[in-house]
Amino acid sequence: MSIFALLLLRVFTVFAEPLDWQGDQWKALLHFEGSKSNILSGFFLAPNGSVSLADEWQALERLKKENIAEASCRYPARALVYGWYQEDKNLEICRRWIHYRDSFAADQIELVLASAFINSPSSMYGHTLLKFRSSKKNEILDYTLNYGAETGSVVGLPYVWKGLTGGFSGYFAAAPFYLKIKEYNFVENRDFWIYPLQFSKQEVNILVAHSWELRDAIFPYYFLKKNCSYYLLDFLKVVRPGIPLTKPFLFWAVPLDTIRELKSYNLLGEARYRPSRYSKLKYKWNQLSKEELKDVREIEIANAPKYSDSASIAYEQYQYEIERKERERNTEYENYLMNHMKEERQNIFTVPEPADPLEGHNSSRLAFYYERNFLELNYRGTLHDFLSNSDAYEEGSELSMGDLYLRKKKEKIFLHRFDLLKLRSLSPTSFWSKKTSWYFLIGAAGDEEDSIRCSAWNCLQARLEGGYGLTAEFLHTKFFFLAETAFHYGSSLEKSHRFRLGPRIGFYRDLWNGAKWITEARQLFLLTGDDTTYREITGGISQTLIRNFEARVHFYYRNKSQLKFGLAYYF
Amino acid sequence: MKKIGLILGVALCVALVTDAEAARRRNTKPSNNYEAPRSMSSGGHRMAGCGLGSTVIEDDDKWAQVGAAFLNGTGFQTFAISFGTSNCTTDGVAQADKEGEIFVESNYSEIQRDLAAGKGEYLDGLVNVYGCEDVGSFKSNLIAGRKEFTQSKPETASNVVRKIANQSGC
Repeated sequence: MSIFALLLLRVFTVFAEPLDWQGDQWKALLHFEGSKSNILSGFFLAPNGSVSLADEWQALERLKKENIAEASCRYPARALVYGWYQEDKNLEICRRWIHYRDSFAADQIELVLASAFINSPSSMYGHTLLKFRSSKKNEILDYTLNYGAETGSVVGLPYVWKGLTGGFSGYFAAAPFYLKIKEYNFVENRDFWIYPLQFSKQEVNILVAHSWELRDAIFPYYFLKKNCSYYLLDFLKVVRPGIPLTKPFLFWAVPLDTIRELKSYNLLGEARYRPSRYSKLKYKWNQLSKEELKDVREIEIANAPKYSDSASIAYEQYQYEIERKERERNTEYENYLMNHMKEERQNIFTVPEPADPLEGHNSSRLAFYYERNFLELNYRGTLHDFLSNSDAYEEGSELSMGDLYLRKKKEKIFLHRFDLLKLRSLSPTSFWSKKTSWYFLIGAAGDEEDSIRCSAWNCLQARLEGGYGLTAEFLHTKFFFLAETAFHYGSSLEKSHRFRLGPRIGFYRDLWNGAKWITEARQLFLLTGDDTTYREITGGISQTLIRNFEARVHFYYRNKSQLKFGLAYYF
Repeated sequence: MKKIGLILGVALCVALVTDAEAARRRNTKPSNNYEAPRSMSSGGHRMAGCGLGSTVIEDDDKWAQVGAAFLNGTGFQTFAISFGTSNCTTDGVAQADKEGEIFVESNYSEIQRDLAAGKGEYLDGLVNVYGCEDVGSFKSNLIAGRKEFTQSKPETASNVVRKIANQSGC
């Protein structure tokens, strides 16, 4: 064969198959997106490894030649993926890696969703982490891998700014599952949903190895998109480099949506449910007969329990109150309960599994409404309100971000309302779990009535509202009362602003399967500024048609009434 | 529009300023040096225990949560347990001889409950951590030694378990 033919063959080979350092696998191992890595530092061998795939590859080749065992133990995932793994127990780095690997002793990987929690909006979107299941250990001893940010002592606007612009450093951190149980199940009272991931043993080994490689890696943390859930997908791409797992998430990554993405590639097994302490207690209290309930509530040191489960439930209640800082630790009382404790009746007190969160509606919503005087188009970025189907969502909570209403009225199209953030927690209080209800809104809206002072667009007023109160449940209906304050600002108001105070009362309940009803009335008394006393009645009824489709009727009454009919689609 | 922006900004600031406590609780900044992982850089800083028993702190300030929901809603944690910087871990996992100590200190209340009930997930976990061959005898001895366990503090209760483990031939 001539030299020319050899050269031609070489050129053909180069163009036909990318070199290893150009392939998706190497990019996934280095967490490259576009021309640079998501990792800032604490990970690369080459000084410019975060921007040069080739340099990092060459640096690894050099280390391999110098000491293949050291290269293997520093970068075991790379060694396992490319098939040159060799360990040497005489090397310190290898001893540390082996201890790490053996601590995990993983056979399988599971994705854990810490669910939303009813009275904690910071938990309303959920959180995801990975759990490395080991058949050699009790499940609570499994190791987990969590991605989170460190914000130090940054607060206020710098906190907002840094969070939105990637100013905080994010890290992967390992911890035993029992600490995550404590953190989420016991303190934040959030349920766990555990989804086995369909990876082979070799893929599990590679992911354990990659978690070791990342133990000091620093990523920029972005609250909205490149957050815990996004980087877990990025992490899993190491064993599925060909699948664009992170691609659909352009602006934000909601934990549930990232799990749905894994499901779409058939990577998820059947979910398991692990209830929080709150869920367990709620179920147990509901299962008790009147006599048993009285027995648990009246346990005192001088008053021995009559029923076998009473001490155990009282102890759980005691721990619940301690975590909520509602009572002080009392070792005498603890010991008394211990001395009367017996094994609980599992057949009665095992919490039944609720609907899988993946069966709930999707995160964003598009809705179309008809009213005899106008048409309305609604887009909501996220997530849930009192009329949304509550399957897989905690009842009694509302979290709307980016909720936008465009109206067409008399040939005019204008922005009628925009809720940047609306939060409401109307969780019923009970004798065993005292809860307050509250409300917060920041956004802009026009008054519902036509104003003689403004045309459609400049009717908008900036709104800041808040409230505090209580919710109680009677006959499966939740009644709420809030004391509210509202500050509105806009050029459409004669004095440019108004500040009002007053009560809101209402109720919400399920009507029948998939149907919900809420009605509320609010009266605000003027403290300062434009306009007079304000009185309104609002409400709505919804019916889920099929998953992600809802029919809605909203009513509104102030000086005149409105009735609008709509269809909503969650996507 | 400038005024509207200012009002929105001030409102967010007010809501978020109460998040100081939650922010303060998060881990310290780790070393960037590859050979000195952050998990190793923390020295022994407590007289007894691994420093995990009291690291879980509830963050239930509602107005802090308003800020948290806006920014942290997409999975950001309101607080974290500083396991990786505990003085009983190396490279983010428990040191071989400290596993029992960490487990007992972190799960003191749950172990106490299981010892009283005579069974449970945390009792099984405890037996698992200490790796006894004669599981039945270790469990019975632990249950029998419950009073001594409950009289100890969370950070020193592992000494009681170690003693029972030795007596059980673990």
